[in-house]
Amino acid sequence: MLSWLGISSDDASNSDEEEEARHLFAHKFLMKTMSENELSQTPKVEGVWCYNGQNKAISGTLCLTGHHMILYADDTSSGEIWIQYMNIDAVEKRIGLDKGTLVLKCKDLQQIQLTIPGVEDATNVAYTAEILSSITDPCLQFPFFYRAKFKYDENGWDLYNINDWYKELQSKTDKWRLSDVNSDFGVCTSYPNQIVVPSEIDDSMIQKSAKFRQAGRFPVLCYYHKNGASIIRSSQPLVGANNRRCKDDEKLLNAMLGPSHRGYILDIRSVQTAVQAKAKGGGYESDHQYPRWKRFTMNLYSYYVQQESLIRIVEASNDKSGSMDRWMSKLESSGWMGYIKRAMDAACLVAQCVDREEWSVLVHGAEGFDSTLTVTSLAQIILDSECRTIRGFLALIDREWIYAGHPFADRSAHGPYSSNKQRGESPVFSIFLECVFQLLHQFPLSFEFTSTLLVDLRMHSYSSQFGTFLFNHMRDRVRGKLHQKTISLWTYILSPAIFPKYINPLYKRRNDNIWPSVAPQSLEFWEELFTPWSTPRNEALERVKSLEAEHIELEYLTAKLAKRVGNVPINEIQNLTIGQMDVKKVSNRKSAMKNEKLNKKKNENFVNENAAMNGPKLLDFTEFPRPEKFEDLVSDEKSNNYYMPIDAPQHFSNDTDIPNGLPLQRPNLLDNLAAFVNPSSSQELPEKVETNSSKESPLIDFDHFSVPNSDNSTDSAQQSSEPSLINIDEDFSNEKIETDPNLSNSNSLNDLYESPI
Amino acid sequence: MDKTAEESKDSGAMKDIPPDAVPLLSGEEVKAYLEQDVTYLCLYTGTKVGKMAVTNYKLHFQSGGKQKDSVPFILEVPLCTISKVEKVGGVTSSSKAVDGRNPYGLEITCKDLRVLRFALRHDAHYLRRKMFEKLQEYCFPASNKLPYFAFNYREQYPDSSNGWSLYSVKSEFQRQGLPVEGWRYTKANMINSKYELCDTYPQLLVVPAAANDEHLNQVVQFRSRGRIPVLSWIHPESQATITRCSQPLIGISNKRSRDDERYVQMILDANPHAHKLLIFDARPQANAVANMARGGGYEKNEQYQNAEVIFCDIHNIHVMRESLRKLQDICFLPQLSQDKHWLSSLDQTQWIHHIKVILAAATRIAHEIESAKASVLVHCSDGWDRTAQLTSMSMIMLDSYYRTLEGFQVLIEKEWLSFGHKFAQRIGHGDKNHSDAERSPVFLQFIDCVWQMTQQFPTAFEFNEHFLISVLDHLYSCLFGTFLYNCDKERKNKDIRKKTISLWSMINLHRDDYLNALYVSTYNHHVLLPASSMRHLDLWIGYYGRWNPRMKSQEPVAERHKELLQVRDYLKKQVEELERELAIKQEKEKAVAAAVPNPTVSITNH
Repeated sequence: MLSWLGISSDDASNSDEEEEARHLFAHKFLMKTMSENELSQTPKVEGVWCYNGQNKAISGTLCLTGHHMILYADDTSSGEIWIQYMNIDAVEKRIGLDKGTLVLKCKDLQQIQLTIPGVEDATNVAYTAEILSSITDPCLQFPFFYRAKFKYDENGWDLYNINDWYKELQSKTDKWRLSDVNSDFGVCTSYPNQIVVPSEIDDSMIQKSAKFRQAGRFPVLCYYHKNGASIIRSSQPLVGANNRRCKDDEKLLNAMLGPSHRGYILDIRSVQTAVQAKAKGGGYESDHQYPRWKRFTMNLYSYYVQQESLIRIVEASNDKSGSMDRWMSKLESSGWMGYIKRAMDAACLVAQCVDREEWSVLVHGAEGFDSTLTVTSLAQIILDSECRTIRGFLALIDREWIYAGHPFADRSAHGPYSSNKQRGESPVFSIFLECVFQLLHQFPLSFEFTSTLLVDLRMHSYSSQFGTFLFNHMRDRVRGKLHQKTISLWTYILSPAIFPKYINPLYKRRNDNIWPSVAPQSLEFWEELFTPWSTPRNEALERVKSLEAEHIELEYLTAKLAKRVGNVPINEIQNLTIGQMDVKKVSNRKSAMKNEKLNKKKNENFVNENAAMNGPKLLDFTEFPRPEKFEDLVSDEKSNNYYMPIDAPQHFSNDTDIPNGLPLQRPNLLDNLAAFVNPSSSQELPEKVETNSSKESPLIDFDHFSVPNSDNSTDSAQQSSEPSLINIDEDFSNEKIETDPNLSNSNSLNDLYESPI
Repeated sequence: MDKTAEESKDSGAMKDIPPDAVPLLSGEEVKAYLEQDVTYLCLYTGTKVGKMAVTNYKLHFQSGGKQKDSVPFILEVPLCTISKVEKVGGVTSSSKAVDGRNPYGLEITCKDLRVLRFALRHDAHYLRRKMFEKLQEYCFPASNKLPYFAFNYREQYPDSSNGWSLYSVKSEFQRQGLPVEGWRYTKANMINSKYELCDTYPQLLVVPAAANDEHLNQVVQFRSRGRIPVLSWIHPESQATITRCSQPLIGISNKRSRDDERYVQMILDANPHAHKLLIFDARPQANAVANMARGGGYEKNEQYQNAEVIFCDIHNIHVMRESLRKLQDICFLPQLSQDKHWLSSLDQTQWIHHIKVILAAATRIAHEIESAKASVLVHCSDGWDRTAQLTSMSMIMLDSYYRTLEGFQVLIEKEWLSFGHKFAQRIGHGDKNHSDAERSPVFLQFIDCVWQMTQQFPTAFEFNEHFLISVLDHLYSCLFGTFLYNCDKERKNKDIRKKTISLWSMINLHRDDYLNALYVSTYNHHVLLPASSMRHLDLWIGYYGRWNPRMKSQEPVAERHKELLQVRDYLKKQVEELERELAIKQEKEKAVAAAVPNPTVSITNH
């Protein structure tokens, strides 16, 4: 079985008789339902050549079943190639005199070329592929026919459970309650049946608020930060041309504010679009009605623009014509990297508002189930180390995408190759995954998973044997009995045989925030995804994995020997702390699948110890690449490695960024400096920096971020928050949007991002 | 301030500076010192106020003063890295005023792509002039008839790591499998021992065995600057070779040389597998043709019947210099407005495109040698720039030895230093003329290509990125004698082996710092052919962007790799210790068992 089609070897076992019978049954069933009686079938063709641009061409017998084209290679060592119809985006056929060539362009960006002898067979195969790849009823799709043949220990449908999540939330605050207001999906079809809302708000108020929000998507909690601020998402308010208001919506939002009693509303539409939306009954929160909230916009563009960009970047990546001179210009003009950057920008901004200013942030666009989710989920990855583990990440996708009502069925109906009329497809989820890839690229040690997981998730979101990404909303999933009838992708990912494949061997848990650089220089083209046919294996990771295997082996040997020597108890050996947590981690991982919870606890204890012990030692990061003794050239940047994205000063400045100079002083310098400095960079800064500069040592600053419980840091937090609050109050009293530093920032930001289209 | 000015007025020897003020290398002396009120204007992190010193080796700046307890900010630049020192502000250039203020200070442009700006007090005209003069004097020793600092550097390195004894022609060719039938060394004291055959070649050459000394003397006449085809690398099994030379002197009149033609045929004949000699002309064809007007040219089919000329389309040093200048502009002075056009401006620099062309040509050479067992002759115009790039890159691909730390040093010594890449001219060591048209980042491109390969084959190279960056830093620093001067002959005349220290002495002493933790030996004896499509090449942010904090790597992957190795070594040690203990224990038990024979005690060795 070739893994390059993304179908794992487990599926091979499906090819036994019973399974095949089931597929054939499905096939006939489908044909019937489509009442395509005249369809002359070609269930089997021999002597087909298959080539995917990557491996050698393979010849074999092509079989068409209800959900797959299966190529059984003549050379049995090459195994089978399974192509799910759902994955096929477009079929390009060139029919010759005695044979036909089909190019199957897949949604996961693979291209597979089939050369089929016999014109009629070729036409039939192409026709079947076209018909079956355009079935839209999810209940007819493969997940409903697929039975797990792999061993698994836990059911992926149970990975995320709102009750567990709520329990964890309750341990931090009692401000929230679990509401059943949407139990019959009557209030909002795209929300799950249980929702976390502020305790002081009763269900009737929520119902009223829901009526005031598009599609009933009233503001809900997505993330509660340890400092009491939270990230909230909703759809746009139905203000309309008459400037309607809803007091319950206002109350609901105000009840969601954190200890600072202030909040930001991030509107991810352009200013113009938000204003125009009023005419169509939508709109935005006005400053009068929401005086505690400060609104600013950052244009992330709507989903269909993103699809066009995807089409362009895929086109550029597939260009094998050799005229690669303009590659980077083409990449730029696709605009794709711009969307990635913008989404990361917005997420950083949200994370910073929450973490540094302790203001709650409400994010919404129009419907609030596309890029809104990108922003809120990315911000959580930045802020919450749990989301950087495999389980945490999958739970995040459950919570922020699947349960939050991202319309997967619509968005992934077609890929970039399809010539079908657009029905609302868009690579929103892909953009989110690529943003995570960029984070992973910048922080290769901070994620438990590798980019393989992201590539696979993307593929499964388009076509899968698992039910996870089927349907648009939870309501449909419940009605379709998805959880009972299909298997969760998480079940597969977490199964003992598969799980290790995704583990990042470099992973080293760190509990602080990760602040990515959003400069375009820092963003990488995702070769693994866009040019899968020519991407070399990741040897570095493989090497590290083999090192880890060696560790386990050696550890085992040590234990064995120790037992025989008889004077060192095994436990002690397993608890060796050789500088780092590796040995422990390795031994944990071995039993990781079984008592996950126990291990998690252990891990946490260990990490905490580690943080306490080695907290400041993390500053070693700054010495990379380590300068030579006699040549402290690199000391130049020593003091400011832990930087916030300087690129966007409006995001705040990390104190270590500007050790003793304020950005506002910079224009006094030479010519180039003036241009470099963004004059509008946050006006709250002066106070902040002054209070912090009294602490002086960057070491302490760092502590402030990583060990929030220490006395030192709470002091400084208070100090720094006070002046900025005063400043913000002044802003409010003015009530002038023009003077609003953030708004002007976002404008200047918008200028930056003029659409390349 | 006035006081300091007066004080320093008379102190030519700078005796009155505090002893710990500037950390000095042995042999280093402070030449100028400003104790306070110097402001370093960093583009990214704001201003720093502190003291500045100029020694005969470096420019040293240290912030401090008011906040004593904070970590001082230290900036050190080897003076030879500086390509240009300019005064900014003052009476002459009031137009540069920013925001009504007139900045007054020094602007220092470096060869490693940095631009440093220091602001001084307005009333300190004298001090600035003095600082400026000292900088002018010691930054450009070659223009001022001063010795490079390498000749003053007195650091002692142990003989065991002496870099000068690293490379010898004979042992290197022995490693490659010489002596073989088709090739011979030139005889000592006969050919080129006094550089009379070719003054930019090393003394000892490897030439086809069929060619006698008289023949060589004839061929010399027909090759530009006497750089005749000589052996660079030979395939240990197929005896396919890489030879290098300069262009033939064909000229407009279509001159030909039977001797040269015969000589080329001899190179071909030395390889039993090949029927055709592939001549890789590194230039674009148009340039090769244009060179005929200047007396050069390329091997034409009519005269060289068993040869095929392949043009590699690598542009000349001027194009490369311009490309780097553009790259510097977008890397070091990124303004926010440029961000949205980052990719297309990077595209416009053409830098990665040039890297791609070099890599592609080298890959083709390696491929021809390995797969077709063909012999290859590489040349450009003079055969010391692009030729060196191509031969050394293809040798790295072909021979895993050159991917080790030692082998890479040998490769640089051999292909670049001994065969006369004109480092002094291309870098402009200590030369005042910063706009010299002879300067070009040829060697930098080579290192960049190597880096691209390390990215594609992260486990195949014994050295790490830090090593490559260190080599580049010392390419400019003139702390070591390695890269000084243009060719072997000059270096011999200046006696650098005795009077200076080799860079490799330092590198090999601190070997551990330069090792790639991921290196495995699986790739030994493997030929590596990198993908040279633009999609797979990256800008080397770790080098070009290292002064720009927002282009930096955020997490130390290399450190983590090392850590994993340390854990492994620790575990290995544990195992060894335990095994030893076990052995001792078993010995004891055996002794006990022997003393008290008991049938129930049986010792198994599993």
